[in-house]
Amino acid sequence: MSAKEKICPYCGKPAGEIALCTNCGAELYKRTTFKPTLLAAAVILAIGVASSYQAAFGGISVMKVGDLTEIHNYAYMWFEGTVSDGPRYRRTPSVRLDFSIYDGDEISVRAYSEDAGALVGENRIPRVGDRVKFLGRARVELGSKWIEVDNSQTKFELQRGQVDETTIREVAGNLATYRYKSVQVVGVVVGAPVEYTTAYLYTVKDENYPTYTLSVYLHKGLWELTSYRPQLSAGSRLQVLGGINGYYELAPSSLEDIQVIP
Amino acid sequence: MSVDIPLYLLSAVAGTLLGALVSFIPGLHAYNLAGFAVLAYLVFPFDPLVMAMFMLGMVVGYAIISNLGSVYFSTPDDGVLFTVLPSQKYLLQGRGHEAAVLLGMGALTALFITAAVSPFISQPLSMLRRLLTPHLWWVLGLVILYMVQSEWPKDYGSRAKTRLGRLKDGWSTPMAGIITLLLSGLLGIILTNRSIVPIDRAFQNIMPVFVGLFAIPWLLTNLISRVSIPKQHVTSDICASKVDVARGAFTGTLGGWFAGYTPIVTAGIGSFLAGHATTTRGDAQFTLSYGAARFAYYVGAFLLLWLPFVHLARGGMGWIASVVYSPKEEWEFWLAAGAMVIAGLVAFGLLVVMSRALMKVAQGTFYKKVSAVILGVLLVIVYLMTSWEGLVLMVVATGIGMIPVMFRCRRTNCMGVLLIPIFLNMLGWGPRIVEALGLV
Repeated sequence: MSAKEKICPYCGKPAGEIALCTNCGAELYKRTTFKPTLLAAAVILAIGVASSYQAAFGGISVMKVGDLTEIHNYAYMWFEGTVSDGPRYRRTPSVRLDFSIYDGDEISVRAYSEDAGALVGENRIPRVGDRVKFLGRARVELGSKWIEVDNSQTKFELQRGQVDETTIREVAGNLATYRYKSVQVVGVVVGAPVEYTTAYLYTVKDENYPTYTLSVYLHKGLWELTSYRPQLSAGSRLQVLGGINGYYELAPSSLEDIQVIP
Repeated sequence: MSVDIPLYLLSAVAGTLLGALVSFIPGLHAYNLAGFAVLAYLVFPFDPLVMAMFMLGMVVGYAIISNLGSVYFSTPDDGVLFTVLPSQKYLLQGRGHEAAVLLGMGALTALFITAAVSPFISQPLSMLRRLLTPHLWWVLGLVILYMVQSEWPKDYGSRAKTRLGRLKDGWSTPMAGIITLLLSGLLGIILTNRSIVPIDRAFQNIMPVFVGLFAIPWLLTNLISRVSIPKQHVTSDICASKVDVARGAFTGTLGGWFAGYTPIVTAGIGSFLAGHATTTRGDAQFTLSYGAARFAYYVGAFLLLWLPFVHLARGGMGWIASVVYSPKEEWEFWLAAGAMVIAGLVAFGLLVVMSRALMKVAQGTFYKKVSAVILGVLLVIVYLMTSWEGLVLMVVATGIGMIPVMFRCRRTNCMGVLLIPIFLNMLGWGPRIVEALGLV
């Protein structure tokens, strides 16, 4: 056997000096050891450990409303923001509780059926001024954007906004400051409410400074959420807890947030 | 976030081990077991994420370990060697272990690429999905056309003397491919509209057909084969250059991803499309590419279910898992990626160990005994899962599945069983054809 002649690593037979073993066809020169494979396996393992660590301790990344595009239609994401409008409630054709949130941009949020029921049943109906963080399914289609709440029992965090006990004069004089904030004011109902298709708009004046008034927005669905019926006739003196929405109206989240006081 | 990560990872590893066990039996798929797992879950409900991780492990185990069956238990004689995988040539050269390791390396590379790329492809894939969805019907049509077009006339050295004889020789293989595709397509149309499988076993409707199209012809070929497998060898290196490894695995991964994303296109089809597109050459590249494609197809498609913003149910396991579980949060994706990697490494280790064990016994005509046992097991399984109606369906499918074996065309043509009915439905012709065939 000449010095250049190789023994085939597969069949163990003399393979000559050519590139392929004449017995079994194995390549004799273009060969790769297992070392790179083991190195690759180590790198892959590191990726696996990093991924698992990220799963356990990575925290929640929150989607900004302004970043939603059509590619996110039907995608599940976490959202966080201040409640800026609502709540609105209906029982037919399907149970639905909806409100809006603001995180620099505003978007409508809808909770259906069981999710709506859980929020209502656990007295967690969001009120303007509250902070919410929740898992939702983005819907972006036909030029509209909204979010559908997913699993309000365990994936919906509600932090009630700090209530500022103040006066109608103070709020009405500084509406921009109180936008999306929770307030509690005392006032007197002025005249009959303006009725819209889905809501009533009451006007309440400051009892000491009657020229200062606030509109109180009450969605008609709120009457379906409780048997409590406050006396809202003209001249009634009320204590109202609610938030100032984007239309600068005072929006309670329940009729129980309105107390008639002597 | 309080999540029980170790439990989920253990579920994935357990799934890998079970997937590895069933992977030996040609025709028995991880999907079949997943169907039973879902039934068990519905009867005894538990954390659906544990179930999903178990399924992920199973599909990872299957994607890697099932390569062993194609290396050691698929043993054609010289009559059909021309049209079978290079891995079987390796086996007949005493290099079965090398083929197994090459297939495993392909899978490992696909695992690496998938794990590295998947965190960054959510948004592009979501955009691609919006772009592609309206066009999928003609993409699928082109895939079918290319399958037919790329069947090539094979020269066996027995050239006929007359022009007509040579024309007949030339067309014998492509025509067999076309006939296989059309017959399996017809079977698929009948199956999806009026299957004879009892309604209470409908969740296993396709199983006897796949066993008949792919597994039984494989086993029958083994049983009639006259080949004696030579002594197998193990070396400390493999017969492939780094370029072969990179090129083969990359090509396979591309093909597997394409197949995983496109409905009904399977790893074999994706692999040969990508191979043609990138001019894959040589047995080593082909083998690596095949291993990578299988992994990228089976596991990549399932991972789409977890991909943030995408959550796409693709591939059999994706559809089965989505019955009981739908991932919604980002941490679930990271968990799935981690589980995929860990399960993949476990499966690769198992592949090497099991290959070394198998190569000691898979010599001579041992494969014939194994094939006979597997054939018996498959018949029992098909009967238990789908009753005698399933056996009838299996026999019909076997008739079609034997055409590629007898006439030396590609076995992927049998995928017409899914490709053609789905394509016709996407085209909007499905209902009219079904009506014309008297199936409604």
